[in-house]
Amino acid sequence: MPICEPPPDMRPNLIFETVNHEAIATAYEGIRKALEAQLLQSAYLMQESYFEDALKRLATARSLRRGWDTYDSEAPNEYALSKSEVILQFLRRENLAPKRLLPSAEGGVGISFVEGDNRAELEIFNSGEVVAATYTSQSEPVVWEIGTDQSLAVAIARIRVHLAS
Amino acid sequence: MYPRGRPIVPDFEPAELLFLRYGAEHWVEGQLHQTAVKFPSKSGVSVNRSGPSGALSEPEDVLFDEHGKYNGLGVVGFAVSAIPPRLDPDHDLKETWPSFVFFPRHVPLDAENDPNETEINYAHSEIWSQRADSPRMPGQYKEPSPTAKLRFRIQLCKIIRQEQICVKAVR
Repeated sequence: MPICEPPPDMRPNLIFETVNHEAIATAYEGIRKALEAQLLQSAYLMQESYFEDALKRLATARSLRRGWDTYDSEAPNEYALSKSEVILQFLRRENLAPKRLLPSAEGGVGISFVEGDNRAELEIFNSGEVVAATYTSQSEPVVWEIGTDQSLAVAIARIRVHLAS
Repeated sequence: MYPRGRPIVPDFEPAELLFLRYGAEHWVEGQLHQTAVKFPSKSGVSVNRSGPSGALSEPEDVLFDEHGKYNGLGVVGFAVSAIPPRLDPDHDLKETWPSFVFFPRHVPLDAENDPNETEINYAHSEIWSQRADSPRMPGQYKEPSPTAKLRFRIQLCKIIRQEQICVKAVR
C-alpha cells in the first residue's frame, strides 16, 4: 500500500496554546462539576468518605487532653475510644455511615446520624454507659440505654428505620 | 466583667440571652451538637448571661482571655426560655430516674475575693438541674443520669441553629 506524506498545506493545523476564554472556561467548569456531582452520587463512595472521616476524628480524639473544649471536660478514655471503634466496625458491616464522630464534653464520644430532619445519636460515655437517641426538629427525643451487643444491633436497626422514615 | 461589689441578680427574664462557647466541629448539619454541652458533676452548665437589656455581658466576652486561649471558637446565644424546664421519665420506656427541673442561676466568678476561684467574670451563670421534688436552692444540685442528660442536651441544642450564632467558630 503506497504511503505518502500529505502536502504541507493539507496537514491538520494543530496549534496548542493556553487560552483564557471565558466561554471555554465556563463550559469546562460545567462539565467538571457535572462529573464531580455524578461521583458524589455514588452511595458507596459517600458512605466510605463518612467512615474515613469518622476514623480520622477518632484518631484525633485519642490525642485530646483534659480541658480540650475549654470547659475543663475530660478527654475520651480508652473504654470510650475502643467501644466507638467497635461500633464503627459494626456500622460499616451494617452499611450505616455516621454523619460525624466527635468528642463529648460529657467525657466520651458521640456518633451522630442525620438524614434530612431525622437525627439519631449514639453517645459512649467514659463511665461505660452507651446511650442512643432519635429525634426530629418537631418531636421530643426518644432516649434509651444500650446494655449489650444484642441491644446495640437493635438500636442500630431502630436508628436506620428512624432515619429512613 | 469585674464584680466590683455588685450583687447577685437572681431573676432571669425569659428573653434574656445566655452565651455558650463552641468549637467548629460541634456544629453538625445546621445545629449545635449536644456533645458541646457539659454537665459538670457538682454544678450546672457554664454560660454567661446577657443581663436585663444586655447590660451584663456581650457574646464576645465569652471569648475573652489575656492569652488568646479562646481565639477562633464561636459563641451561641439562646434565650432563657429555651431551657427545657423539666424532664420526666418515660414510663413506656421503663425509665426509672426521678423527674428533674432545670433553671439558670447567676454565679459570678470573683478571683479577687474568692481564694478558691481563678477567674473573674460577673456575668457567669449556670444552668442548674435539681430533682423536681427538692427545693430550689444552692447545694441541691443533682447531676442527672446519662439518659436524662442526653435528653436535656438534645432538647436544648435542637433550638440552637444558625440564627443563634453570635460569633461563628472557625476552629
